Amino acid sequence: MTILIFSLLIWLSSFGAGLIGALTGLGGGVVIVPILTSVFGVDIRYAIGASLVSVIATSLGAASIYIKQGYTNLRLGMFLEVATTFGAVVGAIIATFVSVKFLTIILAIVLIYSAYIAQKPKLENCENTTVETPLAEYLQLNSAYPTADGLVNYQVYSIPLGFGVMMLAGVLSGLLGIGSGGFKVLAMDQIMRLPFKVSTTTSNFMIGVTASASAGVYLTRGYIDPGLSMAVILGVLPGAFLGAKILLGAKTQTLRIVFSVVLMVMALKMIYNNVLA
Amino acid sequence: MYKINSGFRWSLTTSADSQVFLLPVNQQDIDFVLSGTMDQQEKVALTSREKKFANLIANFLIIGVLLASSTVLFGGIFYLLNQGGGLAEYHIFREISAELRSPITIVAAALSGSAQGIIQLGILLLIAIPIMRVLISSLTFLVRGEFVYIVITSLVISSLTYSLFGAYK
Repeated sequence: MTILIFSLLIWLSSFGAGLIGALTGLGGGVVIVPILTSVFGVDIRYAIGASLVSVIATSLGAASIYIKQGYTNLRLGMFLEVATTFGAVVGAIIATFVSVKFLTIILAIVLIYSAYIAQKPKLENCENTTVETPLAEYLQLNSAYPTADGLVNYQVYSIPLGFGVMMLAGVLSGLLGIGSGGFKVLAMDQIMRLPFKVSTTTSNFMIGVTASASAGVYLTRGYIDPGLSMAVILGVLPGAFLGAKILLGAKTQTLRIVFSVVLMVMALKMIYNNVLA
Repeated sequence: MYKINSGFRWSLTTSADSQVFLLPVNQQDIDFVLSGTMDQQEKVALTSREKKFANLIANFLIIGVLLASSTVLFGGIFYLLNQGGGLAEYHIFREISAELRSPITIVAAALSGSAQGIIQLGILLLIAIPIMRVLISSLTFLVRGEFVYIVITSLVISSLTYSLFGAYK
């Protein structure tokens, strides 16, 4: 296949991945890596490199919109970035030592977990307790976010545990070239008990920096191929923007269930190819 | 606007049997009317200083991503015109040539007119934007004298700098 045709096919798939990633809230990365490796047969290291840079691009574009809307908790994001960037550098360095087989299996496990997260209904944390959260107070993390009924205050709980899970999310991001949105949601929704809109937008805000931390390592190690990355970035970015536009009026429950089945199938195929075959 | 506003207040005061109980609700409703649309109301969320900071970051990010992706697009078109007929061999992993792997040599390659160099420059810009965003935040906290956040952003900057410049074998 010539580079021109291959690039066009990659561009189309990346556009689709960006669109679905935005509609399901998982991001394009978790879709594009398995597509590149299992559909196009691209080496997983090139796939990770290309996915990472496209993840940065979509995160920056979307973050800009969410910040202006007032959902993103900038201070919380900056605080947790300490964990994710450190994790991301560690993950990217681990990735250059371990085997392709190991990477693929870890990716398959993350896909299965993402499939589980994707079909789960979102929970809207907005309980207002009067529990003291000294660390959150000290770091000025408690904030308010806009809802239909006006501003709603929220508190940030279990910061040390959330920080730990964020570091794991960073390691996975660096290791696999994904935004690891699923694990960030685990940390922010389940552990730190943030409102859904705050956790998704703040996670998106952090993904740019996290991915940037591991992309630097990949760039210097020669994993970022300009030809492949170009097609992926230019596809995922408009796809994600279109997805974000559609999302405003769409019911995504069915899509998320279909998508989680697709992720599960891709994961099982990867495990089959790498372990059983 | 004034008409709706006064009507709203009036109807609320007439229906208010228990003034003490309804007061917080009334206040919220009036605030909502005064602030007009949701969009404006959202802006009330941030004090003007935090709002300025948030807008600075948001604008910086969108300009950055547009600049970087147009650089990638520009280089990409050149690349496909020049090398589009070659064979795609992404299934075989070879390390990318050394000049496309470090910030300084990438800039040199792009300036010399290499299509791959231009794409890689766009990617480098993309990687650099979040780093610059953290730098801007750090400077803002420095000006405000928020010590904890100066430390926090500095830690992030050190990870990022190590990743881009220090991670050679």
